Amino acid sequence: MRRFTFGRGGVHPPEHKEASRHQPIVPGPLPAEMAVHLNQHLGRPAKALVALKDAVKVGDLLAEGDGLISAGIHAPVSGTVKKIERRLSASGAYENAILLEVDAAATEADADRFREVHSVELEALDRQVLLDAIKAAGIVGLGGATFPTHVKLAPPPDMPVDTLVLNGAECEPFLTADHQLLLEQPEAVLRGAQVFQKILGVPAVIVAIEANKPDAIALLEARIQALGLKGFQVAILKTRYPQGGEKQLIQALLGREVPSGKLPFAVGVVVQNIATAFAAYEAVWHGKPVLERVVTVTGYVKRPGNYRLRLGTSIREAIEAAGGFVDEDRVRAVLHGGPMMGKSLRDLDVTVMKGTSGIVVLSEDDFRYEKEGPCIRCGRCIAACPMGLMPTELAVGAQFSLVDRLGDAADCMECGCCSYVCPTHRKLVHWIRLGKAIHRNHARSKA
Amino acid sequence: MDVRLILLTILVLGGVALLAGVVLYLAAKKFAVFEDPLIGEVESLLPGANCGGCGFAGCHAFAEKVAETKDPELFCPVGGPSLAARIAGALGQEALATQRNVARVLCNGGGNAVTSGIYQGIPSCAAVAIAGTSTLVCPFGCLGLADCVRACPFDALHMVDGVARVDEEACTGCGKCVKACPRGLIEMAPHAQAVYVACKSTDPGAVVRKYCSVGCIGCKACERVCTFSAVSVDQGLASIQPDLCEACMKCVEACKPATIRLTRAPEAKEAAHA
Repeated sequence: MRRFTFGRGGVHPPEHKEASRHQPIVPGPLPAEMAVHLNQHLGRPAKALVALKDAVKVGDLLAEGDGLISAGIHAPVSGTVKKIERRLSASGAYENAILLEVDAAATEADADRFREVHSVELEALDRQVLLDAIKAAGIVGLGGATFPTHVKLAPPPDMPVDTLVLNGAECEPFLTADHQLLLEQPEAVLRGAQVFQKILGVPAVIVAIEANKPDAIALLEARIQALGLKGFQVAILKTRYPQGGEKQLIQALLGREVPSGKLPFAVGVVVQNIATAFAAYEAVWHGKPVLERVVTVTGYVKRPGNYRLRLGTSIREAIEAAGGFVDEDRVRAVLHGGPMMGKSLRDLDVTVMKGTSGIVVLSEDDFRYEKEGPCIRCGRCIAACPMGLMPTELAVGAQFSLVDRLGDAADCMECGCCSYVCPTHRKLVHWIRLGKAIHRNHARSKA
Repeated sequence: MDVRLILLTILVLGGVALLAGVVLYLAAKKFAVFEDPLIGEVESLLPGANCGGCGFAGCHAFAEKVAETKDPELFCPVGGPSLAARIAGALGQEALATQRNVARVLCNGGGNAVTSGIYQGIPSCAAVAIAGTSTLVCPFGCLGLADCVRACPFDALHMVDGVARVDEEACTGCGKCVKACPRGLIEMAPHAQAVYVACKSTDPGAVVRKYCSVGCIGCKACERVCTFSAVSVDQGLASIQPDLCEACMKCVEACKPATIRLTRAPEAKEAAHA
């Protein structure tokens, strides 16, 4: 069978998925206190609707989306609002968060209403109704980019969309959350995809899965047949990083290149993550907003696995749920996300957000820090860049504030391939990220 | 060697040179662009650092503007009042009374501030601020990676114990560091005003205490002791109004965490003005 892949660059880092692969999704802990951040998505932070000492129930809207590109935040538990304060978030910024004191018994009771399944006639529903349901549930791209899904499902009228791609590549090393979700909830994921299909009115839906998940591929193919879904097909992707990048995926599957600075709409495609589709299923069939998500907690922990964590659970509690560190003294880094795109955390009291796909603990055996050396002009980063950029040039541009060299920086998606292959350990992504800001500020000051 | 050939060569080349000279002379006369001699005169007075501290693209652009508008408000912060007087002299004006401004870093954190984790990224405050990878727990304080030091064209900023310090004698007040600091910690203040609040944290005192031993906790002790009502505390952060402050040092002594600092040895304000 044909294995699709993108045209340029890319790397194949060690996968390290064994530890948590096929570990059933386990419900996470119910902490006594939770900090729910108002900025868990791309765009404007949500506006808080609750005040101090307010009692909230599971699923209540805590904060509403502010403006077009924003998303609502719901109470993951029942309890009372203890504080609204600026707190360090997993993104590294100090942002407003709602601190909830959890009422465990009420949480259990109030969550019942999300367990029943509504009977839904998808055919009979208006697309606007579905879109509103997605928006009301506060769904954002759960693959990690956290772009508000209701915006992504509303293409501008001059850009007709013909294909929906369901992204199950999960190319980031260590992470298995999407894989396990596919294995446990294949029908729910497909139903969620049907919701997207209906909203977009597209004939073709491609479920794209990397070849390192053969069981998921077989299962999805069988379920699509069994359910008799029209226009659905499973595509097998070569195991290669960053296969799950939106632009790489579109190029691999359809041979279409998303122009620089444009969205996939421009080539008639919408890409949605597996977990996002599952959230859409829960929103439509259970009336349940995004309250929790599957997170892979793995690496140097006693019980690596896939955990269903409530948003607002602290990273420390998540690690404890996974059995805790094997040996705390040997821990060198705790990553929010995977090792390629994730970020090392300095404070374990930050909380799980909508964009938290994994928590990876690295021990001193896995962790290596090398001092940054000078560029030796070998060009490996250029060969590795899936966006066809020249990372070394961009990094130099950023280092010395040479604005005219940074024109392409905005195309960088910070996948980390360049830093991964650099023989002198240049922190290319970090420099380019700075370069993007320099270029943006320069453009703004000229405008 | 034929002498005539040498003479001929000299004649031909000399003729060409003469002709070209005449043409160039006529062209220079015909297409002459008038430039105000004042521009050159003013520019020769300027420091020539092209730092942009005045708000123009460089010393020449500043000189052009001065010659064009003769606006006494135009001020070269590097040259300071003495230069202003000389420029005014060249323009045939009275110099305005100006104060000398210097940069001031509103943080005294460094070794006094709590950090967690180890930063192994690139040495750039801006990059840390964007990526949120600071190891400094204080969300307001100096990140200590010296963006301002690199931005300073006059070697007036140095990292001392993890926090930027201004050498007020070398500082010309050009303001480049103000733009370079991603946390907006550097402000321009009158040189004469030696007492200042070296903190920008608006967090409640209890929170500040957890991450910094020299941060402003908003206790208002300074506000109470000030007899000139120059000190006020707003949102848990003290501030001093330079025009009311008499540099009596009471607030400096009253400040328990030693957030209110002196930039140099105490002296009477009058002396500092001179």
